[in-house]
Amino acid sequence: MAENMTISKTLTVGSPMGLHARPAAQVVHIAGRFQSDLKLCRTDRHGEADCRSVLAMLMLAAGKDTVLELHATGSDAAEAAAALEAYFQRNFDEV
Amino acid sequence: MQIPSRTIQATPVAPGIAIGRVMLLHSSGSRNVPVTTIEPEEVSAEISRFHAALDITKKQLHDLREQLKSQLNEKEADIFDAHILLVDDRTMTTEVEKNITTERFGAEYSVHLAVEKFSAAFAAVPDEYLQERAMDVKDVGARIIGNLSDRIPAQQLHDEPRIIATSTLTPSETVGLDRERVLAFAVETGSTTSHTAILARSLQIPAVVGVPKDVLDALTIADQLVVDGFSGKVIINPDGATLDAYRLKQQQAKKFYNQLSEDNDLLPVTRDGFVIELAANVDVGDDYSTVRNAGAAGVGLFRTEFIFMDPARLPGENEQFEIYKKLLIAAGNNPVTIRTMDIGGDKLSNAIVRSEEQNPFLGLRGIRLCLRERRDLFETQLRALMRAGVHGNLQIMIPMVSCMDEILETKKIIAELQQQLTGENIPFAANIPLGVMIETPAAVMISGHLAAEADFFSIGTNDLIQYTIATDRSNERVGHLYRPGHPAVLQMIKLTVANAMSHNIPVTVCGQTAEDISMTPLLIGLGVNELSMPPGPMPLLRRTIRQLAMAECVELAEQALKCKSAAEVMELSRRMIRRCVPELADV
Repeated sequence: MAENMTISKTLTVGSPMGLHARPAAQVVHIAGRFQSDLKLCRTDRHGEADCRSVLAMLMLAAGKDTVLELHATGSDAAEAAAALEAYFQRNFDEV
Repeated sequence: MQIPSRTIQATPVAPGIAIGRVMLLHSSGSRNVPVTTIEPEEVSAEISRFHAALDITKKQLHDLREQLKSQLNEKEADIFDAHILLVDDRTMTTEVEKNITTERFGAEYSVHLAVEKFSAAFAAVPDEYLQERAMDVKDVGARIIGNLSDRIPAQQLHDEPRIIATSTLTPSETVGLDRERVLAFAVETGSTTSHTAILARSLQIPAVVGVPKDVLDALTIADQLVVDGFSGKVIINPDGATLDAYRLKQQQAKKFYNQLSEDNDLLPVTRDGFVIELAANVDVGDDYSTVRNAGAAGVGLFRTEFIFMDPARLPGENEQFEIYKKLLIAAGNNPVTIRTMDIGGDKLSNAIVRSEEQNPFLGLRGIRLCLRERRDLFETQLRALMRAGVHGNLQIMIPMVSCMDEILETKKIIAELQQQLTGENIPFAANIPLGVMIETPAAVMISGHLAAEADFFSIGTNDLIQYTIATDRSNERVGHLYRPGHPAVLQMIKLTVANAMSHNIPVTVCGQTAEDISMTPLLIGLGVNELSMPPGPMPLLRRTIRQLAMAECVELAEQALKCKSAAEVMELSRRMIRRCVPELADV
């Protein structure tokens, strides 16, 4: 596998509360388990947000149904992207 | 660039004249953040200072999270995770480092700017939840700034002593300032009896309050000010002639004060031979030589709450023991009255007071807090005091007493601690005199019972006046009702003294009234034995006492008790001052 492959995925915020402080913190924790560079961006705006910055995550201001693009670059990009995708699909583990 | 010259009339709260340039403090939440700049070679040191503060902040939040875990559910405690992550958030730290490196701002102001930027971004998002996150960022920012300021006080980054111009100043900020670098205070909010005013007087720093906000907002660090703590005038960028006139006035004031100070070794005795003891109000960190030089008969009030002002770390028993011991040794045989922590009211310390109160002045403060929520801190303090007692002439005083249980309970705790210390084979002073602060009308009304249990009374006039007249002394809208000469206040003092006399215990006045010479004939006439005040005004009080006669003061007090208004009372008293000490009547 190439050292610096980039994987992109489209994620949708399903939780009614949006990407608020708790899930934002959780995203940072998940990102911290991997080596890869992980960025989220809104499809309707310019700029990337670093998944290791809770502030950047919160600044995405991603409410319910916001569509985000995830770009993962690095040796474990596939695993990292899968872990984040799973977390989004579980609606941030919120009921 | 300087703004045009103009003169503002503010309210004088601490005497003296200061001429100097401005130090600005900008408000961030509840904290003031000074605008500081650094030199290129200081950049890396400033960045490490910033990171050190981040480490402390992270640890505080971890500790807080652990504490809350037992009280809150896991999910709520998780909110702290977001706060902890914010502390060393890349986006935030990068922004702060950029402010330090390229803008050359000091760390405090760099954090402040970053916080303002991100919280403004959140506040602009059309989502109520995210708007609230602005508060999270501000919270964390205030914590970081607080931890920065604990390390190197902001004013040390300044080149020359300056005049502090700000909208508000909290007691802990006032205490935290290095007096050598502060020429004066020009503040928007506050009153004669606010803590800023009291501390300014005890630090002998001229101060005025009521400076309009638009004036403060317009000032820059290039502006020069004259602050006249006698008249309340603030002159912005004075012309040469005005400046010369004020330099002269400054010299004259100093000369007059020095003349008065030549009498500091004379006894404060009335013309007819009654000694009124003058004791000093002392704060943590004060140099005892100032007290000695002022000719004080010991310490009438050592406020310990400022020891607890640093929310990051509360002092343990040994640390307190060393502080008290040092003071007692410095005072030699002179009595030293140490007041147990008076926390609550406007003297809030977030680390100690566990809940927000709607009406903190009527809430859990002083001895109430000690006996209920923070008995742990109270016992530690009492143990430290009892141990320190062997090194000097210590008296312990408890604040905010409103019922008998409070002194009885305190005595019980002291007895228990004595047993503890005996068991541990640790030396301590037995029979330390225990006094009661008289600062609630309830304490006055039951002072007959209290006098049977207490070894002395100390009237805290600031609180006694505010509780008697039901007037918040820091509220400018009712400030005019706050009158030390109010006939009700005089009745309160009269009853307290009468009950103390019948149990043969002394009465000190340690509030701000003690240093107000227009009140001196009344206090003496009502039978007060001792006045306790900052060393600064003590020479004025000594001169005043030495030129008054007890017999005349007693007569004056009797007349005053018949007066219907504070204005009538004060007119009588001022007339006596003008007659007996004409040279001080204008001070």
